[in-house]
Amino acid sequence: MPKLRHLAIKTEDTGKLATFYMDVFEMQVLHKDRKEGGAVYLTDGYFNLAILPNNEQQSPNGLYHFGFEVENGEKIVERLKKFNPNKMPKQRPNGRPYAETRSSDIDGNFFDISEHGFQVVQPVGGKEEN
Amino acid sequence: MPKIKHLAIRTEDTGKLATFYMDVFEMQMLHKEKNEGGAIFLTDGYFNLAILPNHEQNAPNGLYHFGFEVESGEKIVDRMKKVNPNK
Repeated sequence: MPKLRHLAIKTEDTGKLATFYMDVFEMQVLHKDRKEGGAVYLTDGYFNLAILPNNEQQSPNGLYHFGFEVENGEKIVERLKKFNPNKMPKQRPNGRPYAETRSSDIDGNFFDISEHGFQVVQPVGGKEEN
Repeated sequence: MPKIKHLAIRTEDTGKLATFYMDVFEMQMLHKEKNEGGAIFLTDGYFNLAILPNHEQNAPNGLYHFGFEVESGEKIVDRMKKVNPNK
Protein backbone atom coordinates (compact mmCIF):
# COMPACT_ATOMS: atom_id res chain seq x y z
CA MET A 1 0.00 0.00 0.00
CA PRO A 2 1.36 3.50 -0.82
CA LYS A 3 2.54 5.41 2.23
CA LEU A 4 2.36 9.15 2.84
CA ARG A 5 5.89 9.94 4.03
CA HIS A 6 6.79 13.44 2.89
CA LEU A 7 5.65 17.03 3.41
CA ALA A 8 7.32 20.15 2.03
CA ILE A 9 7.11 23.67 3.46
CA LYS A 10 8.35 26.79 1.71
CA THR A 11 10.04 29.50 3.74
CA GLU A 12 12.35 32.47 3.34
CA ASP A 13 14.72 31.16 6.03
CA THR A 14 15.24 27.41 5.84
CA GLY A 15 17.82 27.32 8.63
CA LYS A 16 15.59 29.10 11.12
CA LEU A 17 12.52 26.97 10.38
CA ALA A 18 14.52 23.73 10.43
CA THR A 19 15.97 24.70 13.81
CA PHE A 20 12.44 25.23 15.13
CA TYR A 21 11.37 21.68 14.22
CA MET A 22 14.65 20.24 15.51
CA ASP A 23 14.50 22.08 18.83
CA VAL A 24 10.79 21.63 19.52
CA PHE A 25 10.02 18.25 17.89
CA GLU A 26 13.45 16.60 18.04
CA MET A 27 13.60 16.13 14.27
CA GLN A 28 16.98 15.17 12.79
CA VAL A 29 18.71 16.52 9.68
CA LEU A 30 18.56 13.93 6.92
CA HIS A 31 20.06 16.02 4.15
CA LYS A 32 21.01 19.64 3.56
CA ASP A 33 21.70 21.42 0.29
CA ARG A 34 25.26 22.69 0.16
CA LYS A 35 24.42 26.26 -0.77
CA GLU A 36 23.66 28.85 1.91
CA GLY A 37 19.91 29.09 2.55
CA GLY A 38 19.25 25.88 0.59
CA ALA A 39 16.74 23.12 1.32
CA VAL A 40 16.95 21.24 4.59
CA TYR A 41 15.37 17.79 4.88
CA LEU A 42 14.38 16.62 8.35
CA THR A 43 13.16 13.25 9.58
CA ASP A 44 11.40 11.84 12.63
CA GLY A 45 12.69 8.39 11.71
CA TYR A 46 9.79 7.65 9.38
CA PHE A 47 8.48 10.86 7.88
CA ASN A 48 10.45 13.34 5.76
CA LEU A 49 9.79 17.05 6.31
CA ALA A 50 11.36 19.20 3.61
CA ILE A 51 12.08 22.83 4.42
CA LEU A 52 12.44 24.48 1.02
CA PRO A 53 13.74 27.96 0.21
CA ASN A 54 11.24 30.42 -1.21
CA ASN A 55 13.78 32.92 -2.42
CA GLU A 56 12.12 33.30 -5.79
CA GLN A 57 8.82 34.27 -4.13
CA GLN A 58 6.86 32.63 -6.91
CA SER A 59 4.39 31.16 -4.43
CA PRO A 60 3.40 31.90 -0.84
CA ASN A 61 5.37 30.58 2.11
CA GLY A 62 3.74 27.64 3.85
CA LEU A 63 2.64 24.09 3.10
CA TYR A 64 3.61 23.30 -0.47
CA HIS A 65 3.25 19.61 -1.37
CA PHE A 66 3.34 16.15 0.16
CA GLY A 67 4.59 12.81 -1.08
CA PHE A 68 3.73 9.14 -1.31
CA GLU A 69 6.24 6.30 -1.27
CA VAL A 70 4.92 3.62 -3.64
CA GLU A 71 5.98 0.19 -4.81
CA ASN A 72 4.95 0.74 -8.41
CA GLY A 73 4.86 4.31 -9.69
CA GLU A 74 3.54 3.29 -13.10
CA LYS A 75 0.46 1.74 -11.54
CA ILE A 76 -0.28 5.01 -9.74
CA VAL A 77 0.20 6.99 -12.95
CA GLU A 78 -2.27 4.69 -14.74
CA ARG A 79 -4.85 5.36 -12.02
CA LEU A 80 -4.23 9.10 -12.23
CA LYS A 81 -4.84 9.04 -15.98
CA LYS A 82 -8.38 7.82 -15.35
CA PHE A 83 -9.13 10.80 -13.10
CA ASN A 84 -7.53 13.44 -15.22
CA PRO A 85 -6.33 12.24 -18.63
CA ASN A 86 -5.36 15.77 -19.67
CA LYS A 87 -3.08 16.41 -16.73
CA MET A 88 -0.26 13.92 -16.74
CA PRO A 89 2.18 13.48 -13.87
CA LYS A 90 5.52 15.12 -14.60
CA GLN A 91 8.99 13.73 -14.15
CA ARG A 92 11.02 15.59 -11.51
CA PRO A 93 14.31 17.16 -12.65
CA ASN A 94 17.33 14.85 -12.47
CA GLY A 95 19.43 14.90 -9.34
CA ARG A 96 16.69 15.61 -6.80
CA PRO A 97 17.17 13.51 -3.68
CA TYR A 98 13.83 11.75 -3.38
CA ALA A 99 10.87 11.74 -5.76
CA GLU A 100 10.67 10.74 -9.40
CA THR A 101 7.29 12.21 -10.28
CA ARG A 102 5.15 15.24 -9.38
CA SER A 103 1.40 15.30 -9.88
CA SER A 104 -1.72 16.81 -8.33
CA ASP A 105 -5.11 15.73 -7.09
CA ILE A 106 -8.47 16.84 -8.46
CA ASP A 107 -8.29 20.05 -6.40
CA GLY A 108 -4.80 20.90 -7.62
CA ASN A 109 -2.89 19.94 -4.47
CA PHE A 110 0.64 18.87 -5.45
CA PHE A 111 2.10 15.54 -4.41
CA ASP A 112 5.27 13.59 -5.23
CA ILE A 113 5.32 9.93 -6.13
CA SER A 114 8.47 8.05 -5.22
CA GLU A 115 9.55 4.43 -5.54
CA HIS A 116 12.93 5.43 -4.15
CA GLY A 117 11.39 6.67 -0.90
CA PHE A 118 12.06 9.66 1.30
CA GLN A 119 14.55 8.38 3.86
CA VAL A 120 17.54 7.49 1.71
CA VAL A 121 19.38 10.39 0.12
CA GLN A 122 20.26 9.28 -3.37
CA PRO A 123 19.93 11.58 -6.38
CA VAL A 124 17.18 10.33 -8.64
CA GLY A 125 17.62 10.14 -12.41
CA GLY A 126 21.22 11.35 -12.73
CA LYS A 127 23.00 14.68 -12.36
CA GLU A 128 20.97 17.66 -11.17
CA GLU A 129 19.55 19.94 -13.83
CA ASN A 130 19.53 23.66 -13.18
CA MET B 1 10.49 11.13 19.59
CA PRO B 2 7.46 13.07 18.24
CA LYS B 3 6.11 11.71 14.95
CA ILE B 4 4.36 13.54 12.11
CA LYS B 5 1.24 11.47 11.56
CA HIS B 6 -1.42 13.86 10.30
CA LEU B 7 -2.08 16.19 7.36
CA ALA B 8 -5.30 18.11 6.71
CA ILE B 9 -6.57 19.36 3.35
CA ARG B 10 -9.50 21.74 2.87
CA THR B 11 -11.86 21.22 -0.03
CA GLU B 12 -15.36 22.07 -1.16
CA ASP B 13 -16.20 18.40 -1.89
CA THR B 14 -14.84 16.06 0.77
CA GLY B 15 -16.43 12.96 -0.76
CA LYS B 16 -14.92 13.52 -4.18
CA LEU B 17 -11.43 14.24 -2.85
CA ALA B 18 -11.52 11.30 -0.43
CA THR B 19 -12.53 9.00 -3.29
CA PHE B 20 -9.52 10.23 -5.26
CA TYR B 21 -7.06 9.24 -2.51
CA MET B 22 -8.84 5.94 -1.88
CA ASP B 23 -8.89 4.97 -5.56
CA VAL B 24 -5.41 6.16 -6.52
CA PHE B 25 -3.42 5.56 -3.33
CA GLU B 26 -5.49 2.77 -1.74
CA MET B 27 -6.12 4.80 1.40
CA GLN B 28 -8.75 3.45 3.79
CA MET B 29 -11.52 5.32 5.55
CA LEU B 30 -10.82 5.75 9.24
CA HIS B 31 -13.76 7.99 10.16
CA LYS B 32 -16.48 9.95 8.41
CA GLU B 33 -18.63 12.66 9.91
CA LYS B 34 -22.33 11.94 9.78
CA ASN B 35 -23.40 15.18 8.16
CA GLU B 36 -23.50 15.35 4.37
CA GLY B 37 -20.26 16.83 3.04
CA GLY B 38 -18.57 16.53 6.43
CA ALA B 39 -14.94 15.71 7.21
CA ILE B 40 -13.48 12.38 6.10
CA PHE B 41 -10.39 10.91 7.74
CA LEU B 42 -8.29 8.50 5.71
CA THR B 43 -5.34 6.31 6.69
CA ASP B 44 -2.53 4.41 4.97
CA GLY B 45 -2.14 2.28 8.09
CA TYR B 46 0.22 4.75 9.74
CA PHE B 47 -0.57 8.26 8.58
CA ASN B 48 -3.87 10.13 8.95
CA LEU B 49 -5.04 12.31 6.05
CA ALA B 50 -7.97 14.55 6.97
CA ILE B 51 -10.20 15.82 4.19
CA LEU B 52 -11.98 18.81 5.71
CA PRO B 53 -14.96 20.75 4.34
CA ASN B 54 -14.35 24.36 3.38
CA HIS B 55 -17.96 25.44 3.15
CA GLU B 56 -17.39 28.59 5.13
CA GLN B 57 -14.71 29.69 2.67
CA ASN B 58 -12.81 31.40 5.45
CA ALA B 59 -9.56 30.13 4.01
CA PRO B 60 -8.38 28.89 0.61
CA ASN B 61 -8.80 25.25 -0.35
CA GLY B 62 -5.62 23.21 -0.14
CA LEU B 63 -3.07 22.06 2.41
CA TYR B 64 -4.15 23.38 5.78
CA HIS B 65 -2.16 21.96 8.73
CA PHE B 66 -0.19 18.94 9.86
CA GLY B 67 0.09 17.15 13.18
CA PHE B 68 2.61 15.52 15.49
CA GLU B 69 1.88 12.58 17.76
CA VAL B 70 3.81 13.21 20.98
CA GLU B 71 4.36 11.47 24.30
CA SER B 72 4.25 14.64 26.38
CA GLY B 73 2.31 17.61 25.07
CA GLU B 74 3.43 19.73 28.02
CA LYS B 75 7.08 19.26 27.13
CA ILE B 76 6.41 20.48 23.60
CA VAL B 77 4.48 23.49 24.87
CA ASP B 78 7.38 24.40 27.18
CA ARG B 79 9.80 24.26 24.28
CA MET B 80 7.50 26.39 22.15
CA LYS B 81 7.31 29.01 24.91
CA LYS B 82 11.08 29.38 24.70
CA VAL B 83 11.01 29.80 20.93
CA ASN B 84 8.04 32.14 20.88
CA PRO B 85 6.84 33.24 24.33
CA ASN B 86 4.15 35.54 22.88
CA LYS B 87 2.44 32.91 20.76
